[in-house]
Amino acid sequence: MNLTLWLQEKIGEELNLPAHEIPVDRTFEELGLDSISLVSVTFDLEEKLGVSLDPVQIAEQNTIQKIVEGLAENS
Amino acid sequence: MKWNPFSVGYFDDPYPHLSQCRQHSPIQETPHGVFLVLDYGRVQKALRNPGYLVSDLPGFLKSKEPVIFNSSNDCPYLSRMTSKWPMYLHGDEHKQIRSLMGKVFSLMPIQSILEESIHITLEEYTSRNTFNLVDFGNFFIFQIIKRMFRLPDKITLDQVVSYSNALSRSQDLYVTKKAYREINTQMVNGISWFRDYPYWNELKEIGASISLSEDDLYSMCGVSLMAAFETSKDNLNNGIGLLMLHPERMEQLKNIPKAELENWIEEIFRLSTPLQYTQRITQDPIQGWLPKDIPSGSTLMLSLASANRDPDFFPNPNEFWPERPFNDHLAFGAGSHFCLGSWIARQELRQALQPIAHALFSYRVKSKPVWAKQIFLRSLHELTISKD
Repeated sequence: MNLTLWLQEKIGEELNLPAHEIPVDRTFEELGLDSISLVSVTFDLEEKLGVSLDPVQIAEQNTIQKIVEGLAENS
Repeated sequence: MKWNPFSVGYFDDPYPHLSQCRQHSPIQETPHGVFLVLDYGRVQKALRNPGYLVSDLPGFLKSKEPVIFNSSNDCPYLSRMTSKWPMYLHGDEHKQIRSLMGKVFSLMPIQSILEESIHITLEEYTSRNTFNLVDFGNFFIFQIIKRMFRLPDKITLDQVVSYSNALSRSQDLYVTKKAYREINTQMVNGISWFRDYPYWNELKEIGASISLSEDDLYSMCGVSLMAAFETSKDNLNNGIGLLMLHPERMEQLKNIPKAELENWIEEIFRLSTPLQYTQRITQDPIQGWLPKDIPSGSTLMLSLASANRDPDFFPNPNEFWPERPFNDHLAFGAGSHFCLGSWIARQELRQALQPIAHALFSYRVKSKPVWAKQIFLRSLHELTISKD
């Protein structure tokens, strides 16, 4: 599964919405995602990828699109 | 330099990062809108300022419980369990609860408990050639707390380690939903360790004039155990670990006079600083700390760890220097929320440091220290030592 879809699904689970209703370019505040939910998704992502992630940076990136772009740049 | 506890190497050693941040900008607004304070002068003043409030952990957890327990059948207990933790109480309620807990502590035969605990610990460990120093420290503090709180015999060290760490992590930053649920489970399960046992009953009897519910009593029991176990074992493990990296210090420690021992103890507290951060809430705007005002109602995250290594107050701050001329460290905080158990923590080291030096001076460190991935509490996780 590609990373964008995986993040849409995870964030959809947090918001009780289907993945396709999660826009990739909206900020997490706009989506109504709680900070604890974001931390939880970040650590799930860390586990999935098997690399250390920086939750501070993830919070600053603030959209699915920017997170995926940031990960692509660092890989 | 922006503060980031997830920067490379922070969990192994946060002090280079904190030093860089402090030099660059001792007041910083974090991405979460909290104002981090890193220099000794401001941290100390903020702790002593009666106009600042402590943060509201029970209120925070209450507001997060719908998120944490979304799609879970667990009974939310995080907020209820933390409702009488004195470090999050204000005014008369704070005084009342603090005074009650202080009275019950004062009835405990601490001196004999410490003597017995160090004796049992050394007997258990000194026949071993190799062990994890953290297991040693945890075992010692467990002996103390099970006698202080007269825990049921069935409670094991491993259970206390998990329970105490869970309660302490409820205060940390960047905690996941899964972790909060685990913490919640520990909180719910722990009530049977205390209900109708002596410590519970003493709090109930001495606090008879206050209206205390079962939740209130359990909240006080839990925080007492957590405060007595978590910070004490962290201080001891961090401190002994620090000394053992320099075998000549262990040798020196064996024979120093009691008056000098006091300086060693304070220097260990300064360098180990188990509680690395604490928070206060402003009630008025602060001007002059940043180009813009810090608004009323802001959270200040005070870095005790950074303050205790501020070179303007502690020259050569990373050096173990018991004779330093000024050592008014903030490891126990300051002001009205000064650590309630500080006298017990000091007494533990007075009683145990030299016997430990005699027992362990021939051991050498055999592994790199492993530190817990925690931000608010700095906790040594593993340090293998062996007899030469």
